[in-house]
Amino acid sequence: MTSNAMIVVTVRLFAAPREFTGKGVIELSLPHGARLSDLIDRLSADYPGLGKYLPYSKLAINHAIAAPETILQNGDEVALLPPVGGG
Amino acid sequence: MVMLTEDPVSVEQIVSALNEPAIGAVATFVGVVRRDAGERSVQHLVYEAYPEMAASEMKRICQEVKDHWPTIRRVAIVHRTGVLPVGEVSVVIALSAAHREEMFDALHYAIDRLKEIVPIWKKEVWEGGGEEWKEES
Repeated sequence: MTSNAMIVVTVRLFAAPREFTGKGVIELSLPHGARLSDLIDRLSADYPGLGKYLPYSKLAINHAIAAPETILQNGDEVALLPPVGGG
Repeated sequence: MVMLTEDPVSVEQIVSALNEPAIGAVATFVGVVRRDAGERSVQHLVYEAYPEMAASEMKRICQEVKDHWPTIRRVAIVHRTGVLPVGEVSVVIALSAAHREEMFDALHYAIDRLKEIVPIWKKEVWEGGGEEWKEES
């Protein structure tokens, strides 16, 4: 596979998952055509234990809530959003 | 007007910013850091935001309020982030209108919506040690 077939996305983590991984920003290379769910599988594999936050979290792409089947584009910013608690 | 800030929030300043000759009322909701957390006492809260998305979601709420209640002229939402001791103001929502009708419904909607969709997280740090990220309450 050539580098042209890969995309790079930025993942942002907040609150409990950020503390759990020790990272607020993660850059990932994924195959062209990868879906948001593929990215989540990859994160779960890279950070064992992160999966416990996933059932309760929403996902955003470029600041908008996105469905797991969404196909990622090069340069996308993905965010893992645990249940919010502002106010 | 929406803002995230690490600095103390002045309710008076926000209310002043809404003032104009056409209005006859400003309604405000002010969220304050509470000490009591069930059996525990809060030492301080830590608020963390996803700033870019929080700003766009707060703007969405301002627009929703104006769409639902056309009598509302201006909406301001200011949320503080970082470390907040007990008694500090964490959030201010202020609405202006010519008359008071519907203002309280709109205000109630805005704070409920903020707690529902704006990506801001709150960690309680307790007196005597221990901490926990809290969900919407």
